[in-house]
Amino acid sequence: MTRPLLRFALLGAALFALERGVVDRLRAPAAFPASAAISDDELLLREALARGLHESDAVVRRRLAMNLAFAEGAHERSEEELVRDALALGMHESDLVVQRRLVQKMRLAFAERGRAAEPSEAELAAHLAAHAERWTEPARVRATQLYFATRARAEAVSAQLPPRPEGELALGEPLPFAAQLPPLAREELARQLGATFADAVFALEPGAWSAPLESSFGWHRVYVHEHNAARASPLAVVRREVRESLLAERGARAVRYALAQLRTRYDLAPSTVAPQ
Amino acid sequence: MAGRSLARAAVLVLTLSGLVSARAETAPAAASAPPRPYAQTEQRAACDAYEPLRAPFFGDTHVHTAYSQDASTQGTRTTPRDAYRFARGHAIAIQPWRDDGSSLRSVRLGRPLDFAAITDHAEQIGEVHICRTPGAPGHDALVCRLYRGWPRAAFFVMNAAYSSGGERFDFCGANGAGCLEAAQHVWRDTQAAAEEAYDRSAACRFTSFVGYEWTSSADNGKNLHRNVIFRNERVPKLPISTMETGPNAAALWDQLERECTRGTPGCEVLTIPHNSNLDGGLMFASARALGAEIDAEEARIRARWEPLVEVMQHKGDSECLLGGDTTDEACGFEKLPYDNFGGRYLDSRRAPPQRGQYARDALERGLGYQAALGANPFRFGLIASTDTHLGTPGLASERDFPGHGGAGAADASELPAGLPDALEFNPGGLAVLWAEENSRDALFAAMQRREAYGTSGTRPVVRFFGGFALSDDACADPAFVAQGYRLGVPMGGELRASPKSAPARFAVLATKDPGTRAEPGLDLERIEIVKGWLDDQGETHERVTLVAGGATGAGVDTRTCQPRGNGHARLCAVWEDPAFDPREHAFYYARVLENPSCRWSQHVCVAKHVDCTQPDSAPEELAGCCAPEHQPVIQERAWTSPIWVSPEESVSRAAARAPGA
Repeated sequence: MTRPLLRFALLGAALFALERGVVDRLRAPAAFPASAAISDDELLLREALARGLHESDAVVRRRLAMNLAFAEGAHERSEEELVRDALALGMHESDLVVQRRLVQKMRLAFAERGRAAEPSEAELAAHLAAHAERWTEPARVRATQLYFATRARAEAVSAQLPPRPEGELALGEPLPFAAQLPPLAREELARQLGATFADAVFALEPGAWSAPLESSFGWHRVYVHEHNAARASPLAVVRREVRESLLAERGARAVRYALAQLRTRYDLAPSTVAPQ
Repeated sequence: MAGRSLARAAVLVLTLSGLVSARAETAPAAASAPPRPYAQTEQRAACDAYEPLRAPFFGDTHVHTAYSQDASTQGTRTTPRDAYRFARGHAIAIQPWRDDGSSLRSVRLGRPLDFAAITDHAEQIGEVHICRTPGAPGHDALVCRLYRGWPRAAFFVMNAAYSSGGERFDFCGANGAGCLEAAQHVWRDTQAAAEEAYDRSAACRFTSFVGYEWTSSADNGKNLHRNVIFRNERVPKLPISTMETGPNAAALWDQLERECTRGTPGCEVLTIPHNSNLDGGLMFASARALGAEIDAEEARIRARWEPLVEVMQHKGDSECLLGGDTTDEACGFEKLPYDNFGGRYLDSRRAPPQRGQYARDALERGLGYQAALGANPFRFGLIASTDTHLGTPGLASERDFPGHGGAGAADASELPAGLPDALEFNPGGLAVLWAEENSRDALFAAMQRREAYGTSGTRPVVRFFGGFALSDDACADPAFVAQGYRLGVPMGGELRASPKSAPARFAVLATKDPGTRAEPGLDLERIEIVKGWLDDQGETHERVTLVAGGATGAGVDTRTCQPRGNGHARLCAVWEDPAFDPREHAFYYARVLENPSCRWSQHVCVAKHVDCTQPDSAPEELAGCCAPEHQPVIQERAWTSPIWVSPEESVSRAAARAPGA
């Protein structure tokens, strides 16, 4: 008993929404507010309806078919039939999800205009240079570490430490990974030896052995060979991200341009673009 | 023999390059890339970070996204691109979803992965694409309408229809052409996502692998699944599914040979079985035909195609089964209470797991084949992965486990009120590869030589070497690793014993998972070495030996999940097998156990204030917290790949008597 009633109620609500005109103002050109009061989303929705996207978009069609099938409680009708009837009932105008989809679809269509041309190397380089702060290689440290299970052993080795680590160092106790660490960012060093240790190593001056430093595993004497400051990433490393960013920027610009055009057009002759 | 020569060459190169690189003041590798001890099959920059003595890379080789039927019918919308972004440390939204498309949950890895393979089910990727694409021929077919209108029912219906292979749905058209065409679209997108995620620059931040899952079930729900992992971007035009091969893996290998190894220049591939715990006894039997005997040819082929087995993932652990001859208590870890998929849903299909389904038993039986046939079909290393169906590679933490998003759960619209997954499932594990650099070629070579280990989700680092001349004080040698390569073989390797061989020695060194600031890692409790061997009567045996650490009294407060007591930040041991017999076939692998910790389910029970001493405190949806089968405490762990010791042919005692099975 409950489910048919519920479906009835929903169908009723949908029809009510239609009659009361949740989007009646979209139907009646005279009711259009001045363009300044219309949000971008409303403009995009109007354009999507004017272009008939609600009839062609796959996601909208699926949503409409599901809505009507649910309201009718029947599964035996084809999606084609369900969509046709749902559109006739104007369900696309009362469904928030459909409206959001249409807005999104329209936005993407405009953005695509801006993304069509493949950026040149020079354009990518210029975009990277203009937004260098977005693509930075983190600061890295290159260090050699000697491991000791206890602090006392780490201290006792002081006299045997060479001025600088050259060649194979037969000092310390083994870890599963190499004594000479590759250049590592703070997070990478933390992943390997613990966050506190990483902080301590990044605070060391290069060119000298550290006092014993504690890691997740024990104690270390650390020699920092060099600190590499954070720097802008080379294009070769971040080409994909830079390209995507540039295209996104061009897409956004194309959307802004299209919206401005739409505003102008609606102001001049809103009735010409009113949905059917 | 070719393998041994290659291994020797690799060790030689390693040793030489190790000597060169030990010069601490030499510049990083960028200036002049050292020669690589593995084939370079692709165009890419040499990695700046190159470690001749190899570094551990953490990853996940078993990941499902919305392209998998069973993931999409349960609300997963993550695409392969999203999944790779997640693996690299970005947050992604996961189910359940609101009507407006926003999600109720998002997840992010505390530590990004180094590599991942997206492995959507090859079966039905075309069908799912059609059902999700309005206008596609077949979109309005009854099955597709069911898929969209009642996805949970579709999960069962579609799986049942395809579980035995054979005919595709009618809507696929003649010879399934429509669905195969759709599959090609999805497969191209999967490849494109992998390419976009792969860092070919010298920074080597992340490696993706093109892959898929071949999802075979035989004999009504017995699992024979394999993940198919390609070395590089050169792959067949379509993933080869059970619809083409039928249920036997040998047919998959034959077709991969035709379409990849011989059919596509530069294509290389391996297959990784998983969930033998659900195989009903079939995974570690002949892959040619049900009930067939494994012959020498199959043994050789299988060892080549399957260098690794996924020993643990969200659907349980497949290392070993406690009971019978096995008294190894640590085998009682993440066990499923049934031996095949059907057992989860039907009491009539529920049978208790058997020892023969587990990797250790297969490793033992493999020794018998080696003795009898001269080839071991089960010479496999061990990794673990998640098998996430949320498209979230590496999301293996016990804390904040959102469920894995698969195995027939409902496509919910609300957050789970109780446990986010079935009580017997778990977050899964990680695969660790020892490689020189983070590139496809280096990582794939590590998989091929089995220099790999699995973890139950945490990140302990483990080295394991075997040799006849390893020094007994290797744990005091700062050059432990160099010595291991110079005087022995790493995990995954093989030793040949002559009658005059000294007893085999094994050097194992492990460090705890350092964890993160938010989630510190736990201390280690112990390292054990598991030995399996074949006696002169052809009988197999196993022994587990504690070689480092041991019970420390550490534990966890199950009321708060706070750990108590200490263990070991680092453990090291050199162990000489006192029962070593150079005439016997044997394998040895190391298992590293952490201190006890709360299982994911107990974290939820504690957060929801369930007190099992007060039965009324547990609402129905949290009844699992106090169920007798609930194990609130686990010990996270790592399993290394084995090292095999084989007698030189002339001294094998078991060869004449081994049963071959």
